[in-house]
Formats: sequence, structure tokens, C-alpha cells
Amino acid sequence: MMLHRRHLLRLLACTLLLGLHVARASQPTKLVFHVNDDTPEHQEAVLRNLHNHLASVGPDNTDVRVLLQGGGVTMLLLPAALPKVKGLSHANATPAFRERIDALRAEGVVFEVSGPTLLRHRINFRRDLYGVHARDVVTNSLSHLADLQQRGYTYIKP
Amino acid sequence: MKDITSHELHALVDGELPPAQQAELLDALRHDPELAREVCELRQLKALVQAAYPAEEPPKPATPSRASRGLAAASVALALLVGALSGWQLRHAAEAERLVVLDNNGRGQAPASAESDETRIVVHVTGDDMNNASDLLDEVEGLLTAYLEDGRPLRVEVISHGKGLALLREGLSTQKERIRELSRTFDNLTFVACLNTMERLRVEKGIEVQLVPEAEVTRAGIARVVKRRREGWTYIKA
Repeated sequence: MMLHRRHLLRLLACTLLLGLHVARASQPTKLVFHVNDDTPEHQEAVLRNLHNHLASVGPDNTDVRVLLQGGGVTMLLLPAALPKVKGLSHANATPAFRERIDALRAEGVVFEVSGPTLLRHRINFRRDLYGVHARDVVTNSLSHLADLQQRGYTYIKP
Repeated sequence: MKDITSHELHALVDGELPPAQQAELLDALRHDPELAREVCELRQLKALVQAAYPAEEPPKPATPSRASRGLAAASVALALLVGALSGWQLRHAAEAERLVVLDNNGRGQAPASAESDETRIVVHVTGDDMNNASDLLDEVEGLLTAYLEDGRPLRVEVISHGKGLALLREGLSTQKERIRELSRTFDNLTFVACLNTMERLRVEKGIEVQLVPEAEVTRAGIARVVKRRREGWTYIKA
């Protein structure tokens, strides 16, 4: 029996794919979602995506961060804070949103916010945002996203 | 100027064009520095990829009737070995591509040394929301300033096409002053507009797009984004 070039290539492809598969299965998926849209419709879809993702792979098999930048920060902006901040027209952290966010946080999802965004819109994260601590504030979104991608996070812009 | 497809560019780089077409393309390149640069980068990429794939040895003549089980088993072992080696080479080809860098004029082709720690970020702008753009330029400015202060190497390229072109249009952008100031302060920041989008606006809507003076142009914005990603730039969508 002669192994033809075609078969050889097929075999080669299979060994490579298997190798990739094994390499990937060995560690949890690392994802970073970048959100800068301020509409509740868009943000609700993002929260739903996150929920579905966790439901399908299980919280132990994934490491998910959500970076809220620009208008995206309204996901955690409390409605009572809207008059105090500058240049934003939505405050989406309603009780319904907060419930979803609580559930995601309980499964390990980390919500991070952009420092420059807080400054620009005069947001006091302790007073105006839902459940944000100093450790969740990033100095610069671009360098943070670049850093996470370097560390193996897959970048998703929903 | 007539549209030059990326297929034609590839054929040119591969030396597969008939002489007349080649002459025509080379002429076009002389008048379009951006296109010339793309060809140059394409050449570099191809050279890197070829360097990673040594020329194949000519196939050995077939020996059909002698093929025993032992030979088949040896072939399988050989195939696995070849597979492993090719995988290794593919990985190195990918690494080589990631290490392509450009000089300050965006023209240089020298591969970066492995220890190069230059951060390269491509920002892809496709929407016309100026609040988003403005928020984003805050981040860009903060990043450039921080890297400058720390003396760390950085390059940022903002590529706009489709609706995103608004950011770089003289009549539509609310960020013109900002773009001018940033471009003046930082020579490692570039703004790139898509020629295809501009031509589409002219043909479909009769709009002659005026770009802000700081904007460079590229034939296809999306192709430029893809190229930057292949070169290892970090991708961020505005």
C-alpha cells in the first residue's frame, strides 16, 4: 500500500488539530468583553451572552472580564447618580440589571471600569456605580486590553 | 485610478503577471506611495513565510509492488514526523510574522529582534458616534502620554472605514482639533482613512470627501486592519 501525498497531508492536519485541541482543553478559556455602547438593549444582550457562555462551559472552565469604557460605564451607573454625572444619557443599573450583574459576579465574572471614563464623566465610582472597588478601576483601557490579550485573553467586542 | 485588487498585488509580488500588466501596476505604484508600501510589506511577509517553508524535495519515484506492511508503517511514522516538524515550522512562521515592524515612517521592513518590547495597538473605528470617538481619544492620549513619560516604545494606528470615516472627515468630525494636537505631539500615532469608503461615497452619493490633513490613506481599511493583526498588533475595536 502506498501512502499518497493527499493522505499524508490529511494525517498531518489531524495530528496538528489534535495537538491544538489538547493544548486548548488544558486551561480555562480567558475572555475579555469590551463594552462601550450605552444603550440598555445592547448591554442586556451582553449580559445575556455572558450568562449563556457560563451556562454552556461552566464557571470553572472560564475566566471572564468585562471592561466598561466610554458609554459602557452606564451598565453600572445607578439611576440616582445620573443627574450628578456629566455627558451621559443612560443609567442602566436598575434593580433588574443589578440582579443579573450579581448573578454573573457570583460566578466569577469581573466587571472593570475605565479610569479615563470616570474622569471624563465626573463619576465617583464609590457613590455612583454599583459594586465597584478601587481594584476594578483600570488606568487605561487600551493598555489594559493589550495587556490582557498578551496574557492570553480573547478579546470580544459584542 | 482603477481599482487594484489584492489578488493583483499578490500576483505582482509573486512575479506572475504578464509584462504589460506588470508595467501598468508598477506605474501605478510610483504614483501611489501607500500602495507601494503595501506591496513592500506584502513582499516582506511572503519572504518570511517562504523562509519558514524550505523548498520541498522532489517526490521519490513510486515503488508500488514492493510496498510491504513494514513500509506502510514507516510511512505513517514519517508522516507523523513531518506533521510534527511542519507544526513547529508553522508556529515559527507565525512568530516571524508577529515580529514584522515598521520604522518611524511606516516603511521599514526589518524584523524586530525577539526582545523588542514595542507595544503596537491598532484601533478599528467603524461607527460615527463622536462621543465614543472622543472617549476613545482620551484613552489614546493617556496611553501615549504614559508611554512617553516612561520611555517605553509604542505605536498606535487608528484605522477608520465605513461610517467610522466620519472621525477623519473635515466636515463631520468633532475631533479635528484633538486629532491635530495629538498628531503634532506624538509621531507614533497615525490616523488612516479608507480609500474604498471615500470612492464609494463619491460614486454612490456624489460626496467628495475632505479628510483632515493629518489623515493618511490606505486602499482598503479592513485589509490594513487584517495586516496589522497578522503583524502582531493588538486589536481594539472602537
